[in-house]
Amino acid sequence: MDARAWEFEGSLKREIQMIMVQDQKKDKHSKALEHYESLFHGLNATCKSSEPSWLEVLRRNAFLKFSQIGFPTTKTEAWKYTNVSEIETARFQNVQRGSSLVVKEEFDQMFPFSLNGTRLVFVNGFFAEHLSILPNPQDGVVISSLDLAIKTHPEILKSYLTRETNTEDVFATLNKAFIQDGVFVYVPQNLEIKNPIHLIFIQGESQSLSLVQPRNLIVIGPRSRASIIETFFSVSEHAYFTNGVTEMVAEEGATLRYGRVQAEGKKAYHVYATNVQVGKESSFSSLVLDLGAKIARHNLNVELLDVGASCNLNGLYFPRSGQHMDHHTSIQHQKPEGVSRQLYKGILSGASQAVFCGNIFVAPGAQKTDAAQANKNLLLSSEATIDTKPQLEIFADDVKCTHGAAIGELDPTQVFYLKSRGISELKAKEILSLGFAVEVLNHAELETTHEYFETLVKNQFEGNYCEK
Amino acid sequence: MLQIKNLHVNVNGTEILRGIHLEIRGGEIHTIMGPNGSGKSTLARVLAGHPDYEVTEGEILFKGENLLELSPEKRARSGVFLAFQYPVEIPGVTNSYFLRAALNEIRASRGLEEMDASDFLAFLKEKMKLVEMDASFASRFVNDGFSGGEKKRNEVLQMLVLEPLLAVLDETDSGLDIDALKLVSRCTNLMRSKERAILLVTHYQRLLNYVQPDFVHVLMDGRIVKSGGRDLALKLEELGYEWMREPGSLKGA
Repeated sequence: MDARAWEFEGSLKREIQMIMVQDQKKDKHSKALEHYESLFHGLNATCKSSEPSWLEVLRRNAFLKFSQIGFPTTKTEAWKYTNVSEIETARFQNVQRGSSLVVKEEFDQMFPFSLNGTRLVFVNGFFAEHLSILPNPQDGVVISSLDLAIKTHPEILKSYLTRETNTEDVFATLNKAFIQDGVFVYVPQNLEIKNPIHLIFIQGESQSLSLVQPRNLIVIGPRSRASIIETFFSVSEHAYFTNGVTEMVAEEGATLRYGRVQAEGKKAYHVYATNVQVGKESSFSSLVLDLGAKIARHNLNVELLDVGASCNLNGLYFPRSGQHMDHHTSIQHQKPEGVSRQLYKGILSGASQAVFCGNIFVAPGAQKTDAAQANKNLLLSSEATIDTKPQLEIFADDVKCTHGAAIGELDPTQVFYLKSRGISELKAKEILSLGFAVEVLNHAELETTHEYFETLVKNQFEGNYCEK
Repeated sequence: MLQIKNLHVNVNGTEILRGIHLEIRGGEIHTIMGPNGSGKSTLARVLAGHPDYEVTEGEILFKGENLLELSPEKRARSGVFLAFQYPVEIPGVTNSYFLRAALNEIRASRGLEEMDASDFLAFLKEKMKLVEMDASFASRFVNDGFSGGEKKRNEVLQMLVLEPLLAVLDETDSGLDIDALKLVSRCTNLMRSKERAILLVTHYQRLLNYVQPDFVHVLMDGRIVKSGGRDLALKLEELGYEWMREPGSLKGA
């Protein structure tokens, strides 16, 4: 065979290979969609009799939209650094309501933390009343499972769930197509809920490949104050997928605090969107702690809708070997005099990966906007990787926007100082990493919450944590 | 307690210590003096196991054990303590948390029980009174935003809490006003006991007005060129170091 013929042969081979690869990809995508279609029909069959027609329509439209868009690939800008093909190809299954019962003793053992106040516990995505602690009824306050609220407060639920939002990504759309349960909190005007409302989502040991899609809706009325903490927790060794959405609304003059702990099982996948709307002169603050799951993604979208709205976002992610954690924050300054603060810190050990992408959007006319963003990363290992990226879109001229990103290692003089006092190398690294985290953890409002967060961070150092 | 034999040390390929011999017994206070760059601080840091210093020759025995084979933390647990010339700031870590972690690691290595947070705080506050530190320093971050004098006092506090067998004070007296100097001296004297040895590294004779050393050694160009009693320090104060460079004086008293 002469050289040209050989070359021709080669290029033909490549072309055929490319077509085959494309076919395989297409195959992968369409197979995934087929699978979700069967899940969707399965769910419809069980829900048919119980859900109102508006919800059925909402879910159906969402599913249609989802099947048109499909799962993102790393070519999708927002998913460039996080590959979800494992999620797409796994055949997750709906969980049947009531299929796994966890008794109180089991739960206490599984989840040995206690915060004072209200607690709503969900097992495999469904409300578990026997594990929950509900408060005494207070004027007009609603704290209940979403499933129940759809029956008791259909009008409010309908109006919030059917709103068109421009922050919805495809996973949130998928979640909408499968709305079944979650939390509904409604606080009318001029009220203060003193203790945090703790929402605990646990995954039992029983099932492999569960698909859990919680949907929470939190509405804080004018000039009211409340604090919500979400915990996703599991000691399960199985692979499962949590695909959740929390929508929050802080109306005029309201104060909303949001704590979030993601401590899913080692083989879990966790994709979650928290969408917040902040009204005139009202403030939203958050403290997000990311510890678990194999692949975790959190989208925190905050819309500062009116004059003088403010937000303060704080996050700590601490992946260990084999974990991938991705944080996308988006703050939209829609009106003048909004203030936003952001501090996200990462501690990366072993062969772990993390992503931080912080988008700040300042609308035309949103003058006197004051926005500051900082992302700092501590790499405990040479095998850890971080992708950090600020994204500023500013369409007003009288604004103050700052951003900064830092990536560093432990300071050897600090390590030596601790060692010279008798502290082991491993413990020294732990102490210094915790010291690095303090700036974020100090945003916890109460001592009990602070302790809870700190304990979880300390626990992350234990077990198979290894230095490399 | 401590025997240093023919110690040679390199830093970044340059020989700083060139054959140190020194023996310190329990109950003794030794002082090392010498001009800038003579290797005083190098000696102090080598004892603590600083990773930047490379021992090329010689040995150090501590309680009969080869100190050079031990990691810094194991040295500390066996009783070596270095008060740093430049104490390190650790933002985010409180003084009390740091010191309790250190004390408990040392206690654990000796088979003692952990001291719980409240017992430790009471114990720490007693020690803080001795160095005249306000109780609020317990909850402040280690050396973070401390003045020079406060940092030095914090080093002395750590010495009082950890109760080492061999305390090496590297220019702890530098930069202190007279009241702080007296305070540091008082605490150093408190540490004096039959079981414990203290090695003071200093530029100035004035510390020795308050802490009476048993031996004074002069370190020049990486070697101990003269050893003597307290009167040697007084002579240095009067004459400086240059007279010792003369031939014949190297072997000294």
